[in-house]
Amino acid sequence: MFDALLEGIVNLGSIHSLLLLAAGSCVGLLFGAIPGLGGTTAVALLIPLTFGMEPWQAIILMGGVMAATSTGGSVSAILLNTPGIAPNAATTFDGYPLAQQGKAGMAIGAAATASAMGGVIGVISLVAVIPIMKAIVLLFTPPEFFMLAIFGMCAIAVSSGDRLLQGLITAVIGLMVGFVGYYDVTSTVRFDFGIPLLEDGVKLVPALIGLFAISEMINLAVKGGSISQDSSDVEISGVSAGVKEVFKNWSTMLVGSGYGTFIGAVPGVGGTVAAFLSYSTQAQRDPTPEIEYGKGNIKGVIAPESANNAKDGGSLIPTLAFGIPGSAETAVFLGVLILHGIEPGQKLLEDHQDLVFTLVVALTVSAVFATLIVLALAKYMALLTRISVHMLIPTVTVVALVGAFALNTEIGDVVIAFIFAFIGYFMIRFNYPRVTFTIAIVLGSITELSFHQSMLIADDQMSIFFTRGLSLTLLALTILSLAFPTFRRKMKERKEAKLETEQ
Amino acid sequence: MFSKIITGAVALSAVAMVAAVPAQAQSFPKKNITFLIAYGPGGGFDTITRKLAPFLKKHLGGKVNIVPKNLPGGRGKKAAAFLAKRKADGSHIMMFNMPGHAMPNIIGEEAGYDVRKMDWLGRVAQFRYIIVVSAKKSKYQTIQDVLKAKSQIKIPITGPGTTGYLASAILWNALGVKPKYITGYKSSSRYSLGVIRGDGDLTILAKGSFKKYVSSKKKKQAAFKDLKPILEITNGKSEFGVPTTGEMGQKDLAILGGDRIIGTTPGTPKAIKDRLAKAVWDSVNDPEFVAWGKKVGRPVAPLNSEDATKLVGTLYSYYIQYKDVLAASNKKTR
Repeated sequence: MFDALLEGIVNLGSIHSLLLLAAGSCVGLLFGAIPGLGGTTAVALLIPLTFGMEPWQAIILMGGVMAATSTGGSVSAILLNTPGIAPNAATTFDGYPLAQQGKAGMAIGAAATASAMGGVIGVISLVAVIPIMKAIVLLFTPPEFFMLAIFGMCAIAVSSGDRLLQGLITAVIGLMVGFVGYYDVTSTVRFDFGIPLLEDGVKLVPALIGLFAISEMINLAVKGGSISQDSSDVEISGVSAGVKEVFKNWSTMLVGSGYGTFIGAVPGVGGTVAAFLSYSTQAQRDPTPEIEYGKGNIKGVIAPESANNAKDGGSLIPTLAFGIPGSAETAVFLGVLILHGIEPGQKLLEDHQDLVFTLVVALTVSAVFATLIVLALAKYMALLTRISVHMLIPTVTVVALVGAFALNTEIGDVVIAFIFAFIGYFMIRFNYPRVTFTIAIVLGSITELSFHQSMLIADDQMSIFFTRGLSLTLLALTILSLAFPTFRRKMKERKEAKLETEQ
Repeated sequence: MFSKIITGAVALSAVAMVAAVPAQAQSFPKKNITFLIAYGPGGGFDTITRKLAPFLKKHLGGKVNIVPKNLPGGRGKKAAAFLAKRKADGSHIMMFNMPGHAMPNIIGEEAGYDVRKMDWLGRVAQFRYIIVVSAKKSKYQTIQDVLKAKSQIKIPITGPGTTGYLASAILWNALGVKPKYITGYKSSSRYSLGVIRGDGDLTILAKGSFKKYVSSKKKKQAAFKDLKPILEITNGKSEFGVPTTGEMGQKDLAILGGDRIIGTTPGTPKAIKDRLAKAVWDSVNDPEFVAWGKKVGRPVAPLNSEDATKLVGTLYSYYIQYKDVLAASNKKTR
């Protein structure tokens, strides 16, 4: 294995390889930052370029792209309240409030550093678990998927804050939206009202573009001014402070990376869920924060960003163990391997270990490289929050709508973005949380599918959820995470009361 | 005099039209050709289309590009309907998933295209199925165990009406087994994983897809560490040394599988269609493409335009026998 790792490093050692990697990273950053485009599109577009390359060169280019997209996506999440790609959705919760407070530099610094650390930890974990990777992939069966989704739903309670009723209302609507379209268990199309566009369900990316980017632009148009409400002329800084925050909150970063790697290893869950789970766990671990979550707590940026980058390493686990893609990007990556005459699957690790490790090294270096670029440019990017709405609104709206269209070259997706833009605007206007709505859309379909499949497997016996080790553990974690903040607050109150009486 | 002029004009224009046909073929292609992919990036159709595109370019004279374009939606229907509505000038082609793309037509669902009316250019590849069990977890390790089973067999699979589900339903019906389907897996990779981890007992899998679960280090049975074949659907000899449906007297079942056939917009002028069909044939038989297919476990199975058209007809007639089964599973619940 070490020979293969060495070969991976050697492959990346030449100027040509490094240039390829840098090109991949830049494309990844750009495609990640522009809402709607994303890593899958970038990798698919670059495929023809790889025809004339050696397989390892193609791998370096693709690795460069894959590791950089979510770093790029975090920039638009923070500056424009628009996740560049879906896994950056959780970054908007605290990232955008920070930008509004004039701390965009700090938020970008923290997001980029957390991304690099998450990426590196994800890849190291991948290498470390290679001997037991099959067991990890096989741990999760439908009952565990269901419990994992329920665990993720706890994020709704956390993200609602003091608006629990509003949070629950939007979550229920989100679940209903998540159920629209083709359902794999029955092969039927539901709640589509005969509209062909809804046959495949409400697509997440155009919905997020509308809900976050365009609705925010409508809101800005009504309010006027600029994103940053702190209009002082002080030069935007704080990038290095953001970097330091990551190391100060190392446990947040480690837990986030752990979530990313673990969830990345489970095919069919994905980086978006990993980021949400990491965010909600962080908020629950920290029931009495200095700054409330959702109002610009830097830990709320570190947690999802370390998770969505660690996922890249994690999603290679099922790819290497069984030849099954762990994410959409790895699916395209497997396609690239096949185009180059390499059959994926068990044979990949047996016959092409050098290529596997070339990818591992490329992912690691690209994660760091992308972060360095973002850190170098963060100061200038943060200036975006100072731009007058007259310039910002038309630019962002056009880029966002092009992004919504570009995904599938489908004009209907632009319509979806518009509809969600107005839903989003009214949610801002009447103080309903958009976060809970998003979590429900993302988790709704996984919850329903895994519940239905569990019932099919267990012949309708609910006991399947309570008789399996991991499923039961996840249930316990759910209960614990809901009870823990209350328990800790009560303890604190009691302690304070005791102190008062003693005085 | 006047009528003579008219007759002369008609005759001249007829000559001009006849003369124009070869000219049209000679000048074709002048513009880039879009090679539609009915599914998203990654996956079998995406890969094989992208691999084939440069070969088509070469065999069409190398002057225009063949541009692969993903148009996913409606489980493949969207791209096929888009193709059917293009101008019939050979500017768009697509690799169809048969019998999957024929299903909406068979059950009478509005699809925006009709596979019986498409212009078929040729077949690129085909796959046939095997039945696999988990090498470690399944109670059933041979097809005899399955046939003698006392408890209900559980089969993880994609949704009702998908090609894998349908092939499975037809097979087990013929063998007199009444299984329970655990549906909802998004792809064959996912339901294979479902079998490995014990969600169900066995499933149906394309032979090419199965090969990725086979270790290259070990030979024969020891190589089947995760999934193990127990039955092959063929009238020939089994590639994996397991019983075949042919040996079980079920010769009709050998049709079950999938064919990847390239088609273009209905009504494409014959000269253009012939030119495209020849390019498809030459590309699929190009030694470099053949060698690639062999190397990655996706061997080519070329059929010319005429035979591919006949095959579509045969598949349609075969599957329409199961129209009721299909329609029931595809019933919309609005």
